Amino acid sequence: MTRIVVFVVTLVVGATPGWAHRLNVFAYLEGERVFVEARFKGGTPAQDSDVRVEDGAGATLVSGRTDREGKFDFAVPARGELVVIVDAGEGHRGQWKLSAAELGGTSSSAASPPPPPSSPTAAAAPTLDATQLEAALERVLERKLAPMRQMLIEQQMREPGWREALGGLGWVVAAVAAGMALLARRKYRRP
Amino acid sequence: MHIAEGVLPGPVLITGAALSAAGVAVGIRRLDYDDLPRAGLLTAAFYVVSLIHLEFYGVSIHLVLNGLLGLLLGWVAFPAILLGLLLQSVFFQEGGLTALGVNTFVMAAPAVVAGFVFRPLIRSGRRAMLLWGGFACAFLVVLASGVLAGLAVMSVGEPLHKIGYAVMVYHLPLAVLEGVITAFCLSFLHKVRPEVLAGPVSEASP
Repeated sequence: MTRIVVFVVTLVVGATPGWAHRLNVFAYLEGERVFVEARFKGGTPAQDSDVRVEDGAGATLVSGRTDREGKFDFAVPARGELVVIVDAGEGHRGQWKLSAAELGGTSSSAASPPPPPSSPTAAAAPTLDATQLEAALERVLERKLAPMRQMLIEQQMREPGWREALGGLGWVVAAVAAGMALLARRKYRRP
Repeated sequence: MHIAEGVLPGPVLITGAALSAAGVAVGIRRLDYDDLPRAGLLTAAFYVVSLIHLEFYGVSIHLVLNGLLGLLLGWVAFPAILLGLLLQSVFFQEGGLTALGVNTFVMAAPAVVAGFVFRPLIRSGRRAMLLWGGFACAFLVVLASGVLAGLAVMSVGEPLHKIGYAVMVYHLPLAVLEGVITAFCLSFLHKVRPEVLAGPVSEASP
């Protein structure tokens, strides 16, 4: 038995932990468009997969397909909650939810009238009007936030590793122990 | 083969769960005290092996080992695969929890059938029979599981040509690989613990 255990352990340890076919979907708002990235666990892009965008009630608002890099983008169709569903076929499917608050910020500000100048002196001094200022701010923020978003994507797409593997093995051991406890009674009571 | 959450409609999920429940019930009833360590070891192998991915011409595949489980565990492969899939779903987010019944049936049913068909070859004691029997068993089990998963997704209108493509592209290389690895495992067991190849104690021939 110990030799089998050693064999299984070497089989497992000798191989690199990696990925199977979990489909990770990540969507974010940039300006007036939503960008979607779909990758299988491990980073392989989900190419040419169906993308469906639903509102909170489940009605389809946008549909399309991912490109060779597993990416897809679309203009924000509504301000409410959006659910982006990517289906790579054969039961591989992932989704990402964008909350109404997340979408409301930029799209409503673009539509709302520019705020009235707070004071005559403030209005006279700057040469930038409200929309230019907003565009400039958006560019700066985008530059600053891009790396953070990348971190978020990586967090979200983190692959299961040793911690998860060992956690699961603990449950297998527990199941065997429970089975033994139950079946031992049956076995040893027998005359 | 790991069908995700929210893909399949209710009736398919319920059918899968009912079929798997029946299989698991038979497996548990047949479970013998002396089979437990082996069942646990193979469940652990089944669970962990899905982490090991291999790239094959741009297609990522991972081992399932359900053919080996069918050969060595018989009906007990049902509860073993159920537990393995439950843990994969919880810890690796692989395969939906609601699709657990369908996924269990997809992977366990062909394994149990092939286990019964191929066990005489494995028991024959001849090395060539052992290797080829193990290869053929694992090979056919993977393809059958691929086809069953395909049938399940057909219920949501997945076109037949796409399923055929998936079986050819994903499952054919996997089937070959599983066949080789299963044959290797069996030959190793044949040398080290030949009595394991007789199959589970509960299903031992008199």
